[in-house]
Amino acid sequence: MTVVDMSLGEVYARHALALTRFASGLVGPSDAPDVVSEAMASLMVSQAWSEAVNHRALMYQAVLYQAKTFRRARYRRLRREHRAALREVGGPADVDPDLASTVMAALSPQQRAVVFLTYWEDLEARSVADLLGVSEGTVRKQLGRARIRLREVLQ
Amino acid sequence: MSDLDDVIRQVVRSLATAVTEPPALPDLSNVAAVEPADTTKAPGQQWRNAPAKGRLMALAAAVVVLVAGGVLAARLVRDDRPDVAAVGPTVVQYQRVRYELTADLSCDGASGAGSTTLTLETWQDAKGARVYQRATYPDGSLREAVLVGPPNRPEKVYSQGESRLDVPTCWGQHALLDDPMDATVPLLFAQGPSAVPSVDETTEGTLLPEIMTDSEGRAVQVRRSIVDGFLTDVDGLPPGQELPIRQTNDRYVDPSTGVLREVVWTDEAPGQYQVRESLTVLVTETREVDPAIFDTDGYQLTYDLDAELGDYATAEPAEPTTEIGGGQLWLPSPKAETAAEAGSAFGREVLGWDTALAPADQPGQEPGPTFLTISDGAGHEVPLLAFPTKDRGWALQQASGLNTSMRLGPDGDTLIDLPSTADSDHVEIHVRTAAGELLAWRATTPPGTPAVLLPAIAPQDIANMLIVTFDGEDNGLTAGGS
Repeated sequence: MTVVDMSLGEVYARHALALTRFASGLVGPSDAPDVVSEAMASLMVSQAWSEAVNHRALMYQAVLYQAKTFRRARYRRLRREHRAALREVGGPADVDPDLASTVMAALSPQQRAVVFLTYWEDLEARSVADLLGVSEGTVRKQLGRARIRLREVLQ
Repeated sequence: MSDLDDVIRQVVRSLATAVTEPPALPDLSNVAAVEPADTTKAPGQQWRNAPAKGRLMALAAAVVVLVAGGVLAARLVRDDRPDVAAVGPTVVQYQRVRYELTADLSCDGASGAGSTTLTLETWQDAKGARVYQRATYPDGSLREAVLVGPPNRPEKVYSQGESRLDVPTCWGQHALLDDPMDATVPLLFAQGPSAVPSVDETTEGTLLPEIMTDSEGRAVQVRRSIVDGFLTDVDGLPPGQELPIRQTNDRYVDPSTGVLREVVWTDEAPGQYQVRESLTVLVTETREVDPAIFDTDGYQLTYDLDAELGDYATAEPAEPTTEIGGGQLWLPSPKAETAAEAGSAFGREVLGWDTALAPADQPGQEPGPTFLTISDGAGHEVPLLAFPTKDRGWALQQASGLNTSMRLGPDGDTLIDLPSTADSDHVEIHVRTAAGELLAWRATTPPGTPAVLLPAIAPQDIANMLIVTFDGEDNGLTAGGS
């Protein structure tokens, strides 16, 4: 019988919606709940939970990791679809979530994570780095490349 | 705020607000039903061999990734290299890894059979761009190295101490492996796990679905890749003789984060030998240490990047001309049903040939690795090895003609060494980065033995590479990758 530290449930309860939105930024709204569920299920059996100092950061990293795994299976289809859909991206009107998902598919998962946390959570590079477990330089580099890429696809 | 920022914010907001309810936590009873398995003795475990040089690089790369392990409480203090600073401590990332080797040999000229365990430790000073690493052999002797510069592509390496590893030998030479500290540049370090995505980018492997345990009893998932091949005279066999081998690489990763916990290589040449190597992360933690551990007094300079650079041309960024990318070229199933179709697609899409001829597959031929030579009908030919993949159609690798290597260039950028190719006018280099981006460069082929510098990308950021050489009329001449 696997014993799960109940603090995982407590921590999840505090950040569940934010994590799901984060996942939506990575894989789109329809698949976000599945990615979050898989991430939490993996944390339940992982030793990483008991080793972690920053459990919130670990949850974000687990969601990102599951999104990467999820992404591999859909990678080719998304690439085909995003090329067809990018031309439809217009001005400042509300963006359809499916179309937004297609735009974000032009980025790597790591870039999506950085973009989401920067533009939705309004986090500084240092905070994004802490949450994802990478260096601040990596965050700045990924954000810079993501902006270049998004400028290309949005044009 | 720029218009671009506004649009990005709208895109992100659209995705964030599209979900309003998080999922409930998974049912714990379902999780409890997953029983861990001891994969160190798992059924189907195979034995693997690789030529010593390739093995060593793989080993080094694995240790690079292993640096990304989790945090465990532990401490190791050595008398002459205390962890407490006298003149001001330096913050380092410390990691201890157990290396185990078991060799069962029945080949001619065999020596070094049995089991060996040694400890590999690394202290990385990220700010100071330096690394101290140490191997402790079973007899207690030490072998040490100080790496200066980017940790996984250092500019200088200083070493001292001798190998005490009884390296398995077949056919009178070290055909199986070398001491892990024997690399010219022992690549034992990198940044954190997210910056070393080679684990989760191992797309040619299989992710076993079960949750298992590593040799330390930690829950892991296993990423397994298997290569079947042959030993030849390069491995010490008499000329003309070949022996089949199977090489298996199991990477045990944390199921929630993908952080590497353990790597196991298994090699088997039936009737000749079985060798098993493993690297297991025991400790990863941040420490304060005496900066004197990075002193190189008494060490020998064993590697100097400046002496290795030579002449090179600088490539200009270019638009990728192929969607394929990568050193191994994956063609999706709908695009190529057969090896011949894959070869033709390769000729058209990568080499830009109007006509790409490939020999037709034999009727009734079982799908399997196939050698084929494609041609443009005008005298250009490229030999390929095509092999089927489980869910990606066909993978292609140029069989010969373009051996490339990658090394560290000025300012941490990437230098690509190319073989001299007759009639080559320019070269296009496509890169898939570790983050999944596709980038491309173009350079006029330098004379002699050409080297090309890729600006603003470090070797460790490159996951796969496709290099295509062209003549003056944009006809593809060769294509290959690394």
